[in-house]
Amino acid sequence: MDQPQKHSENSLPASPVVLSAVLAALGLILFAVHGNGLLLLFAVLLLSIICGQGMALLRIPNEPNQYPRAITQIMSLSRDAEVAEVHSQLAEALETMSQLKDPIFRQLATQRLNSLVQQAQSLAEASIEYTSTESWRVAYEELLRSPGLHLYRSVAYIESTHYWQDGPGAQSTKLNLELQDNRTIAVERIAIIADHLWPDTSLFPIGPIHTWLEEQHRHGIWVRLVRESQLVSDTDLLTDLGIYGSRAVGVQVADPAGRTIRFVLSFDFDCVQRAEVMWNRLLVYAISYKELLDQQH
Amino acid sequence: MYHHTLYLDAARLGKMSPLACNASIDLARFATEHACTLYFSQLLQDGFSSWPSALQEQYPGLSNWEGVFQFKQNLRQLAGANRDTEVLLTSRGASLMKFAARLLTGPCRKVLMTDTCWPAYKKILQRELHGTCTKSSEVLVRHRIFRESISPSALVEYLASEFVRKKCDGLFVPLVDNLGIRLPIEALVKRIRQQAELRFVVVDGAQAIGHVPLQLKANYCDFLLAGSHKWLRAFHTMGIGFFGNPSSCHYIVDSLQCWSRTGSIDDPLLAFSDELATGTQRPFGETVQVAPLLVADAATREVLAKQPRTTADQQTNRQRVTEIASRVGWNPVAPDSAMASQILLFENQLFHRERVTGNDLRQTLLSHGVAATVYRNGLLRLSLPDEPLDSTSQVRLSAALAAVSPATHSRDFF
Repeated sequence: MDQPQKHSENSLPASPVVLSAVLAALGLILFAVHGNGLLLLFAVLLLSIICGQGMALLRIPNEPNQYPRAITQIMSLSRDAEVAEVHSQLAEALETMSQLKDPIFRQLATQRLNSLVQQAQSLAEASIEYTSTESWRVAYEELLRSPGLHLYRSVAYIESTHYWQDGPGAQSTKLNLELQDNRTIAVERIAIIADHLWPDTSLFPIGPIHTWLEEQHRHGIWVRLVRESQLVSDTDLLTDLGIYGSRAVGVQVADPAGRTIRFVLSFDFDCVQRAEVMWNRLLVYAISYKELLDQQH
Repeated sequence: MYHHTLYLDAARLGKMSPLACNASIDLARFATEHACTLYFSQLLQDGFSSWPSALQEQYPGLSNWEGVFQFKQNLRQLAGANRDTEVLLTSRGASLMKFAARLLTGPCRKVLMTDTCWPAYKKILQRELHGTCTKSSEVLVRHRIFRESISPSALVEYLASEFVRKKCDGLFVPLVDNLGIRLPIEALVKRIRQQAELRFVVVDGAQAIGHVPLQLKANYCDFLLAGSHKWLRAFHTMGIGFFGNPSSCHYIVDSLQCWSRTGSIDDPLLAFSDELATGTQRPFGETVQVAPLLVADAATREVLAKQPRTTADQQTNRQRVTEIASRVGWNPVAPDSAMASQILLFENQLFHRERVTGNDLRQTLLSHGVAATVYRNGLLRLSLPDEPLDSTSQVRLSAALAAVSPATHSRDFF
């Protein structure tokens, strides 16, 4: 951080000190030439001081790096009204909290604050995490309904028959079908299915999973299937994710009952690109549901 | 003025078949004498045989009508489809095209079409694709087919490679185009399926039904749309849609129900024919023009009753007409014989030197007792009937073509 400041100072052709010195020297020369011009000397010296200070003041906005990091942060945050408001409230709360001196309180408060810091750092990476809650589905719906989003690609990692069968899961399926029917978005889904749910001897997965996939196919969602065992050498592909256009990617970890343990929604473009790479790798293993139907007929 | 026109313009609008004509006349007579009495509902629902014998004797032209269910069976037979293939009937072909285009936008992200597609249908497709993430890509094949005489196998390879190169996953092509090219769709679909993922195929059969065998049992498409007013010769317009691949049927049925409910697909005949077929009644519905149903059924029966012509017969007919046209300065513009249909094209090199319009030429042809299409660029289109032209018709055609040919002295147009 120091290097640019030095460069900045050195590169200035006329600093306030140099200018003041030059003006003062000019005043002395005039005084020497005119002899008794004391008033003139006083005026010239005053002018040189005013010019020097004025120039120093004018340089302030051009060199924010001269200020401490905390000041520049505040200045940067002030450009974003929403964040500035949050920052202000946080600062006030921290200020009030710091006045309480009880050591146990401070210890507990610091622990909580560290957790807040971690969350904030996660947000700074364009990522929002939901833990042990289905409330992520609100953001999910908002994203799917957002203008400009036309394609939703989903990878469903199905390890139990409960997958998306409960209330919130069924609601999300319904949302997919509604948006697909209205052609608001196009949905494509790859289902990675545990082998016990899709035995080698069966053309289709068992009961509720088959029904779930069939329903989507009937609404024009392009569904593909992969057996979990096919990915034995690509275990990193065993994931449950959704790619929302090229805007965001959501990764879900669910328990055996299909309930969300963790859902991470990332708006980082690099994450979206990584998810797209995974999608393309999965395509190598996948077979379309329509192809299975063709085999049946 | 000729008593009977030698009608060679079925690709535009077919000449009404005698059975269709009888049905149309007797339906009009019935409408003036009985209108919408219960007899009419009885006829529509249960067919001609449900009428009292006095009524049957009065309107024999309607005797073919056995209800919508049987009509659809006749259409299945004509299309070479399975007995359980779903058939849709609409008042307009455009309604079916809109439906087909929406079907494509479900599973497909990029639809390949050719320049042989009917422009109005291309527009409908592009309108439906607008605002979705599905795109279309057009491949130009006409020039290769007409000017470079590309073989069907080379065309299939070319289109399949373009499909892969352009990363397409949907297909929209006509079985026979308005200039008579009969695309090898079955081979094309098979080849594409070997190389890429083909999610949904829509085939335009408007110029094919009643003209070439549709052979839907071969499962080369998911949806085929056609009409009754061209080669089926019903004269009345009516859209006919056939489901193809069984694996797409549920998707099509569910989509139809959903979009009919929301009003995205709104065709009165589609709803009414469904009521007739299923026996369900939705009161206070829109009043529907049902004449196309009865007339198209009669026309379908006539096509089915006819002895199907062999390919050799059709080829002989084409050769004869080509010879007649060539003798008077009209050169054939023909695809490889395997892609030929009963639509023949001819051009005259001298045409562009003369200040005449296509319509003027059409008028001159008509004054010589021949009906055909002449395009603005002087391209002459003759739609041959199934039966071979007799000697009188051949003489008349020769005289008419000579009259509109700048290369001959006998022309009376210029």
